[in-house]
Amino acid sequence: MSVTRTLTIETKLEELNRLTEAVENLGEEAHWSPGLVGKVNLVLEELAINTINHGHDGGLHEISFTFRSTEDALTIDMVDDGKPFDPLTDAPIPDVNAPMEERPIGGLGVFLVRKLMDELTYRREEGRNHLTLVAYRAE
Amino acid sequence: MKLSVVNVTGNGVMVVAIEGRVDSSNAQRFERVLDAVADAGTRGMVLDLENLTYISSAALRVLLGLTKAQARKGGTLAVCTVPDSLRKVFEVSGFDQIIPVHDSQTEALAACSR
Repeated sequence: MSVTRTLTIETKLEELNRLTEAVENLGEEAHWSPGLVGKVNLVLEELAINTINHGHDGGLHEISFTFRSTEDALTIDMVDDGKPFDPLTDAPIPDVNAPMEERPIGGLGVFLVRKLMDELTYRREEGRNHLTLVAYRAE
Repeated sequence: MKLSVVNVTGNGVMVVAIEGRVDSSNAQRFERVLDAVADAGTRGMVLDLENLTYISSAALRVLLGLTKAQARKGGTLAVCTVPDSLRKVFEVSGFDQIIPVHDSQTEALAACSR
């Protein structure tokens, strides 16, 4: 069974609820495991917050998501017209093995995105960030 | 999100059960409540996560701050009964190396009371 859904949110934090809802509804419809629902929610929340907080110098903009869920994998295309940001290269890598005293508070969001997704592709096209995320169904 | 103190041991270790979601929208409230519990003179805190359904990096940030605060006053923060769906987040973030993860409340309490 293949399910496709799209969602567009505005760049304000109150919109995150709609994103979470969409993920949960799709997860239910396409029979995702609770682990996959949690993972996708976390990843999209982190990415959306980054765009909302740092993507623009003001004004309301849109972030659009296209979800394609198949038996094997979930693919998400996230598009925004914010400043160029490639989560694969533009965020520092935290030392997750550092002792607690040396761990900075924060800086984990994008790292979790990279770790929790199975594939991540970024391209900048016509003034937009296009990020494709893939999570395999098998855990 | 619902937080409730479900147990306080004779030696001042508090067990707090966390239910529901902790995300960017309520992480500040989560932090305030846990700080208040920590300030209530505990010498350790166990977070029972059995009914926690979701945790974002905003919540992990709070847990790290709390762990550091406990360490400064000689206490311990431990978590127990982490749902399978959240284990991966603890593992990849390295949080399982920083915050002791126990299978049961009893085990976590024993570790905090040592």
